[in-house]
Amino acid sequence: MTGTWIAVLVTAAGCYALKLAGLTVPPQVLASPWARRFAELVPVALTARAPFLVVILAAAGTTAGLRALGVG
Amino acid sequence: MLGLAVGTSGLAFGAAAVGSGLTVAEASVLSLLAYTGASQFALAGAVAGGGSLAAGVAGAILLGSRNGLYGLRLAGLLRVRGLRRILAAHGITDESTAMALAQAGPAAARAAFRGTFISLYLTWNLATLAGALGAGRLGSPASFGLDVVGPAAFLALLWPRLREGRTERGVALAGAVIALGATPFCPPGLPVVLAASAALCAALMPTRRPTRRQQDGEQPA
Repeated sequence: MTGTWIAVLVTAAGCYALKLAGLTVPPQVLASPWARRFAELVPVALTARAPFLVVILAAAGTTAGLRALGVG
Repeated sequence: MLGLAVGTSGLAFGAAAVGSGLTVAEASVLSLLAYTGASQFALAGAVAGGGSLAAGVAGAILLGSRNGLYGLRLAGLLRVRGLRRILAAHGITDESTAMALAQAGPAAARAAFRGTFISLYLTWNLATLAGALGAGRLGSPASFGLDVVGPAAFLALLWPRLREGRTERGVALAGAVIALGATPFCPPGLPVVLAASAALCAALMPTRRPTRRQQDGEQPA
């Protein structure tokens, strides 16, 4: 088995284990209010990064385009 | 909208993976078994870079750790046990989490999670195969402007959460700024994990007034 195959399989196993671990967490861990609040806010923090990066890149791209046209 | 985004992203992954030096079979197995786009791109990038494969694997798994945090949030909503949990865990992605959390109640959330998992799993894997087989003959998705479809879909899903309160808006902004700021300085995978610290800080801060959700108990907004 080549090194790349091992890398592929280890990555797949690691990524799946993390998903399963999150879903298997015992309910009492989320019983405390701050832990529940954290779990609620994580998707907000992480999914926000995708649109934000695009807005920044689009702004940079537009600026570069306008400068290339001699506007800015 | 998410289907289109995932389809083009899967095509891009298949093409990028083969361009990086992975075989068609390796690219497909990665999509079938890892099933988390960002980690897969990270591993393909590490293979292409010719650096240490172990570091590439570590970065890819680090990126996958956010799925564990999503699982934490979804556990109480999906309430799956045994075989169903083993299957549902595989379906946890940015997309299925966002779709499930955008729903009004637990039943709708479960249906949205299942539907997103099935349709996107098929789309992602077929697109990966097509991209891997057609590598080199396809243009970059960026040249069609399709690469912005995914983030735009996330914005649509995120929007109702941002209207819930000041804390949500603060966390979203902080998460985005942390991820953006850390990207040039950190190895791949770390910025996304750092972005979760925005949620950690907000959760530890004392709440001045209880949110509507806390007053109602477990009822999602």
